[in-house]
Amino acid sequence: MTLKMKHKLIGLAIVFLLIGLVSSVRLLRGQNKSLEIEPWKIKGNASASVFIVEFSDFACPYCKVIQPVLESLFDIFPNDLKIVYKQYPIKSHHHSYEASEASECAGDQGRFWEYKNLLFDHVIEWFTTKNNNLENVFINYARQVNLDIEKFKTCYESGNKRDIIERNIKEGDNYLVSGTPTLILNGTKIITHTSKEALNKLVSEALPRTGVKTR
Amino acid sequence: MNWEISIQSKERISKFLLFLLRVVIGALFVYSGFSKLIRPIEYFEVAVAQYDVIPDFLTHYLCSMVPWIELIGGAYLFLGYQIPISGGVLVFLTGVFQVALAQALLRKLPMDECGCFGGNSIHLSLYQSFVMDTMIVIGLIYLSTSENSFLLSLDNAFLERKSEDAN
Repeated sequence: MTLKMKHKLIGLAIVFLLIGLVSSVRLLRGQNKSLEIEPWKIKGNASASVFIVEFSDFACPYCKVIQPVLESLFDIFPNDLKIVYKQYPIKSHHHSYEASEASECAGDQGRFWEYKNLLFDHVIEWFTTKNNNLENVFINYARQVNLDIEKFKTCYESGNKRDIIERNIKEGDNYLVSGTPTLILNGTKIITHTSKEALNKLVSEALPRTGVKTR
Repeated sequence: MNWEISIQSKERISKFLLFLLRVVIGALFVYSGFSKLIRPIEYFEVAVAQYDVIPDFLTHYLCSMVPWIELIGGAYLFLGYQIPISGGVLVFLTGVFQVALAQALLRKLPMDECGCFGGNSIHLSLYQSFVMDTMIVIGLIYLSTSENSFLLSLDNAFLERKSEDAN
């Protein structure tokens, strides 16, 4: 083998080593796949055999688009499905982290899902709100879902919900979330930008594996 | 005699400084590429989209490619492999980024940080990043064109083997 050839091979070896290194780190990050149960963020039959975990960001347009698609699954599988919402705010998305905090505070009063829907419905409003008025906007939504405003305010201002959000982000990282929304169906990551028909098919396919009769 | 020693030691110092420069810049690119590659691509996409210069349909492809170029180019530079080429590629990459930074500064885009490390690890303002990248470009150009930048490099190891074989 000529010296020139060896020189080229070393270059290739470096590239393969780097690809291996990045893949290994990604794999290692994906090995710890435990999920904390957060009852206020579970929708559907708690004992359902099929569950979808949704890692989502309130400021992400695709996350908004997929909400009605996910909701419509309950019409088809009213008893066999539960959806678990997990916070995955992209930190550089304007106010997204704060929106996650507000939704967790609504969750304290049992209104997580209603508040979540309001956040998605009014994303342009809070996304474009100035920092000094943001809390008022979130309080306004809290009023619309009949929350105890004082409790909500205390919770939001305390910053206590950051731990939960950071834990959710870490869980997402462990599942190798590569963007939002990311859906995990019975522990397996599925394509995110999917249609109602495709999701319906995936859930139907998951049912026989769990021993539940297919519709 | 003293004059010759002085020239020799100056050359040694220069070689050592260039070695340090090469290793530091290489490591910086390796870190930058690696930190983007192990995080969701969306972090980097959001950072790139803030510059408001690249069409949306290109952002994803660009964000998939750039971290690999940084990682491989940085590793090549760190190890001293194909220094003029790896240095040249990184100069081009940093130069393009400088143009994006400059237009963001001129347009006074409302950006808190440059997103140079994928928007999730080291946070630098646009000005800080502009100054740092200018220094990196100067350093890279010097490294790519200087004959003294081969200390402890793979390129040098091969050159020595080549001359041994020739003898």
